[in-house]
Amino acid sequence: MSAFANKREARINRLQNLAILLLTLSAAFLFACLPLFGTLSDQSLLELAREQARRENAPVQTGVSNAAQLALPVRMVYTNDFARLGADAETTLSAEFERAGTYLSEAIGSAGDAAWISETVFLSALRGEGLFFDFTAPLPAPLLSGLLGVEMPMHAPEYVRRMLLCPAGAASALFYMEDGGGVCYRCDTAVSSSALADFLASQSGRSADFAYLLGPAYAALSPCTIIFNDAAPCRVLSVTNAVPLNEDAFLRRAGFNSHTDNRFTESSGTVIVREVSSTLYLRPDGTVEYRGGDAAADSVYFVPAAVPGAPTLFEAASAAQRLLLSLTQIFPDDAALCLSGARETEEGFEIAFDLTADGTPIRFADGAHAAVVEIAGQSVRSFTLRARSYTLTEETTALLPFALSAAIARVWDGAELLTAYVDAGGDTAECAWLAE
Amino acid sequence: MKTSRLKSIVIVVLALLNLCLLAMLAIRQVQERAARERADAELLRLFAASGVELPAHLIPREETHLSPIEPARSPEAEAAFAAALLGDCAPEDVGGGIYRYVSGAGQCLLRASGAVEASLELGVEDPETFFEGVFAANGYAALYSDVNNGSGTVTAVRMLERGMVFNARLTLEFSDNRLISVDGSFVPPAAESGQGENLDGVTALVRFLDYIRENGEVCTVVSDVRAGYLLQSTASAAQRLIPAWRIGTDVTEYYVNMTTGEVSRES
Repeated sequence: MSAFANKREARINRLQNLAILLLTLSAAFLFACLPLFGTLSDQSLLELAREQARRENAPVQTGVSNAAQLALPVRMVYTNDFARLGADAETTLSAEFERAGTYLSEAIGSAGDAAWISETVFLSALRGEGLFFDFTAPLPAPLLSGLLGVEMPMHAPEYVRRMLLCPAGAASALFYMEDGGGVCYRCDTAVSSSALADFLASQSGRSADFAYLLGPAYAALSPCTIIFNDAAPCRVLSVTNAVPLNEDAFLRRAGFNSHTDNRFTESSGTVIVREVSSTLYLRPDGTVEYRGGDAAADSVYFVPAAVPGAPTLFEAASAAQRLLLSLTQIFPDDAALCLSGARETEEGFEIAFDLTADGTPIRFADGAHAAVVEIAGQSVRSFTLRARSYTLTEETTALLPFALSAAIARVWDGAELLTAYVDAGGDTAECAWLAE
Repeated sequence: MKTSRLKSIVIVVLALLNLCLLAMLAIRQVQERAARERADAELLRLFAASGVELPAHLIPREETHLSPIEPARSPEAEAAFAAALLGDCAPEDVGGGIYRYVSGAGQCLLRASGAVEASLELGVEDPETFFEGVFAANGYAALYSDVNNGSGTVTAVRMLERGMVFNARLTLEFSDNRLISVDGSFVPPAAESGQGENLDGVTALVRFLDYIRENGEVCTVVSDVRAGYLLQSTASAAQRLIPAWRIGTDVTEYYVNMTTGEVSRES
């Protein structure tokens, strides 16, 4: 074959190779652009790859319900020029508090010197425009400080339960009331009164009022009792002891070996499980008790602290909540955990928690808390947990009219009237009026 | 068989394969366009049945991927902003996340939520040049102005690369060539990711329609639909930019949260 023919053949060969390569790449690209089959029939490979890349690069969204954030029950009342509206059954994690709490943190952070005022002055301020907070239990000031991320003023009372923020001239005034009334303070803040007034005017919600403003018929009640004009029927709760539903899983979450030989049942029916330095008691009535020693850094009983060995009250409360949420996560129920008390003890801290269902508090007939956690150093040394599981049913309970309940409650002078579920140890819990 | 003949057959097969794939892709594009047109027609019919006119060209076609942003407070940006208004001044920590700047020209309060309140007497030669400089330096764009002969107000809105922060506005008031007040929201520089999963524009329009029906709101024309952000201030995050659709009507403006679908109206 001539040299020319060879060259020509070589050229054709190269062109054919190039054509095959290009057509193969083109076919592959077109195939990737086509929708796939089956459940992915509306997306092509390219679209799937783009979506996967987007998911991997998407910023992590931190929701408001973060286990590290404390949930404290709070009631709020908004008074503007035209109406008084209330928000009940909220916690400090709710969107309602998120909006109002920004004014509170700004007020506390910019509060000036406090002046002592009488309870009458505080109550009179409830009449006018204002944003009222009731944390339903006396809060240690450092706890509120940690929750809102502001330093409490030097003059702040040791415990705070009720606060009122009112427009006053160009700025706003903050009123504190210690629990039980009697001791009240007023201080100026740098919160813009026009911004506060605009916020109050924009609120909507249930019509509400304070017992103090409703005249002699309610004079026997605590003056700051919040009364809502509509009382919705409460759903009945179905109640069971939670631990027996999944005992092994609970033991594992509590850091115990579910297959341990150190597990025996007393004559009373209490199951006792022992590890090296800790003991768990599972009582027949659903109560769980824990006793333990120093916790390792990777233990659920460890309390992280910015200063080693000296956690703050806020750090202790956050760790206690985290522990309880971890233990109760496996319970199939409609109840939510809320912090209801915190105090320093000789050894460290005692943190108490209670439950709410559908925003309504759950109280035990013996008056005990749902959980109490004791902390010493950076370890949870003991806890007591009423491990009860609550499920909302479709059955409802009609409550007594508020006026009738208020008349009955007159025997407890100065009591606050509220609705709550009462768990007396049975398999249901109904809503009732409680005087506290 | 010669190799070249074999390759020729392979080329023909590949060419036919490409033609088939191309045809399938073309059919898919046509089907997608037809489905989109049907969806648009259905949407227009829904709006018409509710007595609301929705111009077809306003229906959003492109996907958005905005993510929530928590801008970090920038003391440097705030100081520069205050200096542009007041001249030399140092911040004073009032507490509660509030900083006060004071100079001979007046004072300016900047809050953690971004709220700005300034009352001052600053002489400016040309208000238009002045406010354009302030807006440009801080990422704002003028919305409307009635400044005339050195007096009036101008309002600007914060702009990010991927959208407007609808409710982050600055209003400057001038009187006789003097800047006398500044109000609004100051949003510091913020990095957008463009990787979020959002409610699409068509769904947002349907949510809006449901909202106005349920709440008895009155409007007759949709005049604008665009993606952007809403500035929110809460107890846990002083400043947060939430992706949202803004739907402008002949009465007021509505916002549809791109994550939750919640609808709110301009307050």
